[in-house]
Amino acid sequence: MRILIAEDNALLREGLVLLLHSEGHEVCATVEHGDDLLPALLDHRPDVAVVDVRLPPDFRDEGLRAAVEARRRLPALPVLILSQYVERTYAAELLAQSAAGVGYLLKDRVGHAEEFLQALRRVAEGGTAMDPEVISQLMAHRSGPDPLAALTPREREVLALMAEGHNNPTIARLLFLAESSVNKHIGSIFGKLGMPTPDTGHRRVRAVLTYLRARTDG
Amino acid sequence: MRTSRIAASTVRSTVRSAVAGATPRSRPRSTARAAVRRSPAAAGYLLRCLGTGMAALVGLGLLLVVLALCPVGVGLPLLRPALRLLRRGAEFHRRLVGRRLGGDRPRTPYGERVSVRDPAVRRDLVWLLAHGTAGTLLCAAALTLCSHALNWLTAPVWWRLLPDEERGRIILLTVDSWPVALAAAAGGVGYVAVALAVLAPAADLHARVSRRLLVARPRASLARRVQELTTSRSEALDAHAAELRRIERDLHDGAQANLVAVSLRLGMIRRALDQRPEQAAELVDSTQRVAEQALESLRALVRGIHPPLLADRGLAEAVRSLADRCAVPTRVSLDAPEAATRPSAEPPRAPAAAEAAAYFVVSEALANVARHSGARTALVRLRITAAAVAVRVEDDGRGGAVEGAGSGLPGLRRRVAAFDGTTRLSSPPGGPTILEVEIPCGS
Repeated sequence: MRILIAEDNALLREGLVLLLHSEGHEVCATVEHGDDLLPALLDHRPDVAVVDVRLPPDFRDEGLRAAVEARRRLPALPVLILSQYVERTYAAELLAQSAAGVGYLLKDRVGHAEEFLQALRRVAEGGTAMDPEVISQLMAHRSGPDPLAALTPREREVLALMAEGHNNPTIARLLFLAESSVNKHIGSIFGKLGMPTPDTGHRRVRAVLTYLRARTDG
Repeated sequence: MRTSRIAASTVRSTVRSAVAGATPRSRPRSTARAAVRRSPAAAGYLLRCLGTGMAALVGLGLLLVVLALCPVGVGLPLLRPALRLLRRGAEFHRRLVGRRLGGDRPRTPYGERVSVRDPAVRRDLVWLLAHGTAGTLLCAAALTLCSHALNWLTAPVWWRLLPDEERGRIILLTVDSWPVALAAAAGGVGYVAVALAVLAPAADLHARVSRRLLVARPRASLARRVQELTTSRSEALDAHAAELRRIERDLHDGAQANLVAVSLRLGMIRRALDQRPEQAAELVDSTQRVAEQALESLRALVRGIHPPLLADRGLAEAVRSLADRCAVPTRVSLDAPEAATRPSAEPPRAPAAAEAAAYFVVSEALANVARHSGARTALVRLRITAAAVAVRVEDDGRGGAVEGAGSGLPGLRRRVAAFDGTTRLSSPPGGPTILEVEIPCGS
């Protein structure tokens, strides 16, 4: 994969480059400054971009804003956002357009190389990778009419894991369920969310998006 | 500190009255001794005031010329420098008066702009008039009294050295024989007594009236003080918020991110152990280096917040350590007048907040010297008294320093203002650059 890295901390940036190289990926560009990010994203069109939320000059959310703008111009551009802490607002802004090819992980997760690389791969392939912290923060937040009100607690669990980006066998393993029951739950979720026709993978993305939107709106 | 001063003077007066009670006849003698003791300082004060008074008279004339030229337009550009000069003179005199009368240096809050509309400036103008005329007369009279007393007293010395026709011109008497000379000397003793009795009261009178004229009336000055304090308070809050934000950023983007980098490498080691064990050792080494760098940046951050050395050893040591680390060779000179009178050899300590602010000032100033000045050497002077910490940082660089332009000077000024302190920067093109900061210790 061709990967772009936007991270201002030198030690972490070098570490990421080293990790990705050792996995046989190509790092097509590294960016340290927020102002350079958007041009670099549009220029290199990487298979996936790993972007720190906070970048110079102001150390606010330059990285996130550049990523959102880049995805507005190149809608399919996969972006994995790394952040020191999880913010509902950031997740909401990121997901406002589409949940396809979007990831939002705590920086801590890069310590678990295997999971981090999997998440990166998923995002590059157009999936989602939401940090469990994001999901639990979104779960805790409730306001207004809840489109997910009709779901059973078990179905919510399954949907939350789908949102994190896991596939059915993994979800089954994590919830100690048979894969067939996971399939059944997912079918029920699609039905309750008004997505009856089986239109392959998109339905899954749409369900996750509905879920995330329901959690991030308001 | 004020209490201790009161206590000391009470003790002194108790002692004095006890002595007086024991030997009632020694009282006039001790009064005379006190007059003699106080006279040199009084004479010095009057002499200086005579000098500044005559300068004030000249200044008054110049100012009138400038004012007269104002309607024509020629005077306008000269008005502001003239008023600035006046202010310097007045400030000099405030210090003089403060030293004479003891206690705090009288302060007059000036407005932001140098203008005749400023009540403080008008006050200075009135003072200039009074000091240049009545003040000068008073000083001249008192000092003339002294010189006359000396002339009378020394008649036996000089009368034989002078030609005949000069002998009647020095004092009222025509000193042409020993009896007259001795009589003149006897009169001189009385004259000296009068001069000694008059000197100190005259100096005190001059100082008191000057203070009256130089210091704003409480109401006007209180209103101005409230305004000043409100400004400095909000600036203190701003500076505090900015400082918190800097620390948060340093922690977030420095220490925290470095730890993530360490964690990332540990993850890689874990993978390497499973897949390519031969690479693991090399990764462990590089991980350790990363951890060490993380520690170093954390240390730098801690030093920036409140250096341990500052807490343990005080400002002087902490500043010396800053100077040692500065890329430009820097000397530190410490002036602590009150330390000499104290029994312990400990360097003087100011309140922690004032020390921290002064440290911050030196740290910023030296960073600027290293970054912008192109200086070969720098000198840091510290003056620590019970009343204030004064910092002066001077370099021999190219000068031309401006506030803003990433110099950190506005932040420095805000931080000092928060302590009700003053910041002065002088940096003409070609150098030298001198930054002077005074931080009151709030006692």
